[in-house]
Amino acid sequence: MRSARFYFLLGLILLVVVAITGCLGVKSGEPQALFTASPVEHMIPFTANFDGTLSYDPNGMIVSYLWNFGDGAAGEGPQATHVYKEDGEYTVLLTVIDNQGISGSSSLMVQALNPPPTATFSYRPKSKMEDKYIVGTLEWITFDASESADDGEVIAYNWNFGDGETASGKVVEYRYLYAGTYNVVLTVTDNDGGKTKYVEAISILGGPPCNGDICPGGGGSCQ
Amino acid sequence: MKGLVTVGAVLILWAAMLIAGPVEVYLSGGPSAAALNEINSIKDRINAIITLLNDNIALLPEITGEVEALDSIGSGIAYQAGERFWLSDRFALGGKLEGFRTSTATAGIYTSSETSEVSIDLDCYAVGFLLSGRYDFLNAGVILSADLGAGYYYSGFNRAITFQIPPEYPDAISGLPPEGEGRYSGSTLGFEGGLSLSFPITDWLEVGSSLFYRSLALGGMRDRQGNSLDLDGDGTPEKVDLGGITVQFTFSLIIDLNPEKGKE
Repeated sequence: MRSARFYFLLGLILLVVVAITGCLGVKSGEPQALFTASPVEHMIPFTANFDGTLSYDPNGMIVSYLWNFGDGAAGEGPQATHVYKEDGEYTVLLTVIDNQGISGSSSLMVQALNPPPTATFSYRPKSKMEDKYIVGTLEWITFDASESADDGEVIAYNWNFGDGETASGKVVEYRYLYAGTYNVVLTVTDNDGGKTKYVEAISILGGPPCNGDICPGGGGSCQ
Repeated sequence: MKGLVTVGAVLILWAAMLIAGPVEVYLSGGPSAAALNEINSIKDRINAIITLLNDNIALLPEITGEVEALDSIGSGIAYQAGERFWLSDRFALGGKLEGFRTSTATAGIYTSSETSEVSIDLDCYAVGFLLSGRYDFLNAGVILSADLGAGYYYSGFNRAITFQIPPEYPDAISGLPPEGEGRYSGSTLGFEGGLSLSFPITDWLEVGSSLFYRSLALGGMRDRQGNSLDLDGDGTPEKVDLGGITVQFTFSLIIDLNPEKGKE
């Protein structure tokens, strides 16, 4: 009987040890890195704000917050700000380290957007008639996109004259064969691939070329 | 490995049947707890995000709604069905089928210019076939026994997660769980040990209770496409630790196959 009690106690102790080891011994002590970011998508340059105070450690306390902003820059502290100057997608990584030296991390994607180029053009000759600028058929028109601009460089100017014809170049010449109103579309592309379109309607009248010398102030004699 | 275990179990059971006295058939069930530490760690992380959203959204007039936090996953009901052959007055060998299931879920919506849904459903189960042994320490009207078992477990983990942040919410939040559904499974060897108290009611009927510790951990559950269970999306598969304590309440039928060698 004594032997049975001994084995019973031994078994009970073993069971308790195994249970405690199983339930508690492998409990994850990894600190949890959590953070908010605002904004995560914006035109460059912009300042992004990061807040890692949501992070926590189930078994201790967080003693260090390390930021990697994804563009080669780094920071420290529970809260951080960073200015993104170059466009691109950046993975922001927060690594937190607890008082036992155990680390945990999480990440977010920040999109620094390339500002698109501005697109505009002027053309000449053009005459004003009853508050409308007009051009005559077969009259050579110079389209000039020099006023288009970008933070980097505009690398392409593409024209669609609205009658099925196209051209490229910062300054182009074109003449319409038939009277009518045409939507001239200028598409400019910058060195980061950003594109912007600008559309302007142009009225072409039949008959002889009409310019500012003939129709000063849009006198209506051009028809 | 699975084949070897199965063949071994069948051989041992067959041998036990040949030399056995009484056979005991039993059914049991009761509360069970599984550690599921890594899963519960992710649950805590999800709850931290839900709490942040609830607290901040309460201050934003353009968004309404609240989502309840997830309960811990790990507690559930385990059941066993098996038989054991008494090879002597004190020692029995047998086999049993064991099942365990645990789950947790939450759901809610945030309403702004759009309806944003948060719905999380986690479900874990295990079914095992174990070769088990029992040794009676003490028989004083009440029988005190030690139990050991080992066998193969098949386990599954199902996840269904939708976590939509209202478009008006001003911040992006890291650590959101990946959305989607998945069914993951795996199998491994498991062990259990425990103590039992049995109360003979008649020569052929016993009731009892047992306290077991189950050791069962799966490191690499995968879905049909071979993707690992990665609840938090950090690229590291989650370990599913189903180790824990089980309390079982048992009904046993004892059939004496050979009255002359029967269990006293």
